[in-house]
Amino acid sequence: MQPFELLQPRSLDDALGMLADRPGARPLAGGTALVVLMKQALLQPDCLVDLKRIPDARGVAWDPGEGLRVGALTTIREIEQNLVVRSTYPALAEACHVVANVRIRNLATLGGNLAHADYQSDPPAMLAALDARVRIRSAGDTREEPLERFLVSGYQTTLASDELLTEIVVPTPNGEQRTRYLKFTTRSAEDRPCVGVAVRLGLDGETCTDLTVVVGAVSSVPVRVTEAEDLARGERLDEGLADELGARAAAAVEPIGDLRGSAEYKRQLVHVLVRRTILGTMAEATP
Amino acid sequence: MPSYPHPFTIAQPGSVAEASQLLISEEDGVLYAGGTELLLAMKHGGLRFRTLIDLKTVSGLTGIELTEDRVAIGALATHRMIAQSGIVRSRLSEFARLESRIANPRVRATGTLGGNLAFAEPHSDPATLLIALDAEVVVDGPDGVRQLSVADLIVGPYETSLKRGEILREILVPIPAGGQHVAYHKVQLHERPMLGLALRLDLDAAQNRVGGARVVVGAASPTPRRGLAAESMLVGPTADLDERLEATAELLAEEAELVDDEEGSADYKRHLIGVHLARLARQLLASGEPPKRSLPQPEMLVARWRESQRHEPKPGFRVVGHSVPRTDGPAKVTGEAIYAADVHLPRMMHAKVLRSPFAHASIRSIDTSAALAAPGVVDVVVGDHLRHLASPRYGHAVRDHWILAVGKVRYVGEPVAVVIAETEPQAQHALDLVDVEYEELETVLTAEEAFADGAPLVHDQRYEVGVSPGHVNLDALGELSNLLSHEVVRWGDAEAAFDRADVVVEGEFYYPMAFAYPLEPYVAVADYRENALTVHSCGQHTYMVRRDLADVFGLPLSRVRVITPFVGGGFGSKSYTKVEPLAAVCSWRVGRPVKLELTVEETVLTTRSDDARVWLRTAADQTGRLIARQARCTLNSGAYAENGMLVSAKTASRLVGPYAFAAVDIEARSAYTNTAPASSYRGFGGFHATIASEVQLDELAERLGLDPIEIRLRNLVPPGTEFFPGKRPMTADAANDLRLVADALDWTSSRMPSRGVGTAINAIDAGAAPVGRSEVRVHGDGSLTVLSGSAELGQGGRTVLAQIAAEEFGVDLAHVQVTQSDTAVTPFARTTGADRTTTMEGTTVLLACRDAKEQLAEMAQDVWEAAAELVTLEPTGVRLSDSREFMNWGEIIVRYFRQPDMEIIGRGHIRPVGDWGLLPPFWELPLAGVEVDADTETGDWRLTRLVTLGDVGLAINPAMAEGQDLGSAIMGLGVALREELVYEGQQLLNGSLLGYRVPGFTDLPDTVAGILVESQDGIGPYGAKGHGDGSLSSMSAAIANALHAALGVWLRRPPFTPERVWRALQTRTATAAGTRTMASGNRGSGT
Repeated sequence: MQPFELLQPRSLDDALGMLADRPGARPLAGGTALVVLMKQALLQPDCLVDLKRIPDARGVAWDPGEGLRVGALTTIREIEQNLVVRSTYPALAEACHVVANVRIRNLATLGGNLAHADYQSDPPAMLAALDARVRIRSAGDTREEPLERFLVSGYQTTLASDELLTEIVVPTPNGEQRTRYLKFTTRSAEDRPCVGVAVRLGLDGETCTDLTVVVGAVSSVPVRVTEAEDLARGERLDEGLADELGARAAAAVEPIGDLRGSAEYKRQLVHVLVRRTILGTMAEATP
Repeated sequence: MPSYPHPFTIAQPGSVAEASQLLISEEDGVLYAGGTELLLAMKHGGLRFRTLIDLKTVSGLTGIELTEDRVAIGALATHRMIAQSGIVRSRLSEFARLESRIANPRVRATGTLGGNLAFAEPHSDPATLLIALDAEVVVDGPDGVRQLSVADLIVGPYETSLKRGEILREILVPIPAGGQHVAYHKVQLHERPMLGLALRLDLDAAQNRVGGARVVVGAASPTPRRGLAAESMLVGPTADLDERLEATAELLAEEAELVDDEEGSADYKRHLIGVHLARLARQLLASGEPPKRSLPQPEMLVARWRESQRHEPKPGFRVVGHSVPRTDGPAKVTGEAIYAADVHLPRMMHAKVLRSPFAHASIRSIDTSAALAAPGVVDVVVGDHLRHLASPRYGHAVRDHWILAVGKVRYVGEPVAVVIAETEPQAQHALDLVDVEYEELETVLTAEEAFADGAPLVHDQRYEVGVSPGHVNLDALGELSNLLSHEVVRWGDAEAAFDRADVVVEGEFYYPMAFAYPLEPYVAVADYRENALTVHSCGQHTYMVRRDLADVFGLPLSRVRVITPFVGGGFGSKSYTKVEPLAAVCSWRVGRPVKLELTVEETVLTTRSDDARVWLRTAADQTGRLIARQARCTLNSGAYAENGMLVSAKTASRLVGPYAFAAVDIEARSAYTNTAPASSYRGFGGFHATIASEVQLDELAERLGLDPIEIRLRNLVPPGTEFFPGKRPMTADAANDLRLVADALDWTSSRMPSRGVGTAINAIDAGAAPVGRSEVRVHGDGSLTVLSGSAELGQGGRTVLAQIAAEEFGVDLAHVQVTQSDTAVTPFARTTGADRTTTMEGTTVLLACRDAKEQLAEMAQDVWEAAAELVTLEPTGVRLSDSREFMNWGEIIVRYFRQPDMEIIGRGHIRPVGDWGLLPPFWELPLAGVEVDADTETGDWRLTRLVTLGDVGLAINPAMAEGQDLGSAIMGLGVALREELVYEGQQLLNGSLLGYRVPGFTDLPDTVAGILVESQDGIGPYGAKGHGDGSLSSMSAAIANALHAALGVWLRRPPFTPERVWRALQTRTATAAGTRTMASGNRGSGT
């Protein structure tokens, strides 16, 4: 690894100031992705701004009206184990639970995960399905936008080099809605996802009142399958329809072929897994 | 997959009455005691409760009290409290013993007896024995207190006779009266018992009669079953009890209504009831005491079940045959153990390697000036500098391996220059400053390309053979080409045999290149000074590294010292010479010690396994008897010879398998290519061959309508059969081994849809060259130093050698020290690999011990001035006959030399003559049985059960032997699942920690059984034989066969990624759409 300078600000303002002063500096959160990239010489920043000593940027708060607020430096493990998340956003807890292994989850942060914008990741798809928003600060400004707009492409977000992602806000789901996340790996159980499917489903009896389907890890950003959502609304949700929704999802995605599977195979998986996730959401059984 | 329990509230009542009320008032309320079962069910089983009524807050429910004739145990007493209670241990010793063996310490610390009984989980221990003891429970509820027997409490699986609002508060266990003897046996393979058997005999000593009896079968039926009819048969004279037992056991098994389940078949349980009823009865008649020996390891039970019918009990070893903790365990878990990377010498510098970005290119120029000027850099070594060495190349077989590229590079990752600096980061930084100009050349990347007409040559010169040429026959290779070796195994008239065969199967198979993935990357610390070289290395062949280094520098062997501290895993990849010459050249250049430590990514580029394409056809007659086999194999051995010749030779010989073919015609050719060098990998040749040879066995079985086990049983050669001309006859009972695996896998029982079972076996000519020596120093205090050149790779070699020495001298294991491999100190060991340490090093240690004891006996004669025949060897010393005079080993030495702390040395060696003259020294049988669960829509699959078998002769350390075999199977699982090095053009795509995935704990099967067969029929110490390569070689074939049973498709190319399986299913569906004739095996549902 190339030598680098490590700055350890004690406040968010200090951190933002350092990032503004040092154009080559990169923010360091859990380091599970950044340090690997540096070791492989894919990134060679001369300065790292370590965010871990900033108070208040870590933790989970919930208010029924405002929803869930997750500090950007909250670890994936903390979210996975948080009782509010587990009771109110169980599928988000699941999407965090299936990330890598416990050693990674103890270090990696949600803010780091989203800002890194690796398309082969679990939380972004689920958060997108939950209509999550991100809050961003720079030295002079604060802004907020939907996660789906924030994620521009693979490893690319709207973050400017002097901005930091500070908080993730997830609206409280409607009480009638059920959510679910399904991860599929092809290389080892602890691998990054080959395909991830996030579903949020509203039901009146067997009739679908509302459906959100987001497919993660197959394209450069999570893909929201609006065609399927439109088709399902107001319909009786049975196996046949679920299969049709899977087919629509498979047609809607543009999979990236890689060592985890060819584009063709990933398309097949999207078909099967969207169907299974929807049916699983209805049954409320574990996959 | 576990999920989170649904939200619930916890109620904490203050009394039993309050808890009882809550049970009635709360909808969806449930009692919560230890929670070991309940929480599991809520997490995994989808059980939902709104309110957990926590009984732990109710006081007075955990007491254990003694009354006149019984013990009262509070329902909330944990298993551990009961197991440790003085009252229970003294009055109900068998029950205390049972409680101390439930589950694991964590469960025992929280699980309660009351919770256990109220949950009525069928696979549980306590109720079975409690029923035999006529125990009762006290129940408190809205209608008051009542008392009922445990037998009446449990009415079904997870079902009790407790009424709404009733709470179990106490268990009353009568203390057995005089003459009442009770004992409990359990058989457990996995998480929970497969069978529990409780027997109580009320003995009337005066009349030599069984006056009354209780016998209860647990865990094998939906509830514990008391055998009333069996009990009446047990009553009667003790004299002929033995004769009544067989019929009693049959009756008992009938009464128990045994079920087939994942723990075992009803048949097997029936068999076990017979075995254990007899043992229990004999135990109770003898003394009522439990057997002195602790229960055998559960996994061993299946093996012992068969073994007990064939072999006398083994003689009583003191240390050998015991699973003593490994001697290096504490040092390794505390981080005290020293590995080569930990070696730090005074004035040591660091080296970093610049590697080629091209697979094949001429080096036009190298400019090192900028790098030399960089901070901390002392030298930059390039190919030109090698001119001053005695040899710029090394290689034990062919001396073709350039230490640094000279003139041209032959693969991506080949060392081109090495920077030596004061610190590692300085060296790393300066690498970017070395400027190399290349001119790209045409490449050959696969064996097929390498053998094509007019293919560019990887090597355009001939090289001399190395010091251990093995299979190298350079003259036979003809003109200069990319052909590295051409191996032929041939006997009989294959063509004629195929002509008269009833069935022939034919196909092409491919085993991918893989990375052995030791945790420790390659590392060497070299110190060249005073015309002598010392190297600390992670290599597993210490002495072969020494030879290569001596040749490179033109030094005598005595001036090259190679030290191998603990090695962080080898698996074949640390065989032979790797980075040691480069580190040594660096030290030779700068005159200071130099450390060269590779990253994982560099390690992947240094050595991989060969990939092999195998075309195979096999012929059989209509009875399933194998007649002939024909194979053509091509192996891609990469840019340098390394061990490639032996890999192709072993691929050829291991295609024969443990079968007697009348005719065999096998050729294997390996190629030089522009890819990373291939070399040894655990069991090489074995896995390359077995994927082809054993899948074809299943294909033949299908064609002939035979069960896959049956076709193998009809062909496996019996022990002592000469089946491979020129090699040693078969040294194991393969048919018996296969039966054991099939039984443990519950082969014949019905299978669920999408599940399939499969097996595979081979015969590996193991053991490498049978030559080596060891020394044992006996010190004046009787302690021992074992000097062995065998490296400790994590396989436990040092522990095993220490056990042998401790056994021979009757000393404590703590008094034996086994030194690390060090060519200046330890005697020659040819290699550490090919399963040789226990068998061959072990034999030399055994011989060295016996040599030392003979010397000591002679010295004792001198001390006592006695004739030889009057001095006899005893386990811990010598005795003068007809007298009470005795000297232990230390006393002999001190009295003989008249000097404390003197010592003697015993020596032992083996060489390839006599017993050791015929190769292989033993046949190793990689044997695995698996069950898979496959997803027909995604092609994803999971190993659900794994059975491995080690036919080890005698396990010097059973726990380590078993661990080694299971570890090997998991390593084999890796390639079946996902492992494969993927080249795209010249570049390796996944040569990194992130890109190359090995199995993690979450990939492991649900249930695992490792069987050790100990027939003491090996050539090694006490009849041991090696098993270090283990079951790996058979894993891919076994899984391919299981996937065929589950899905009806043949898979011939590991890894069986979900996508490959899916594609195979697609192809089959497309075919079946036309003809619909696809037959599915009788072991799976097919589609």
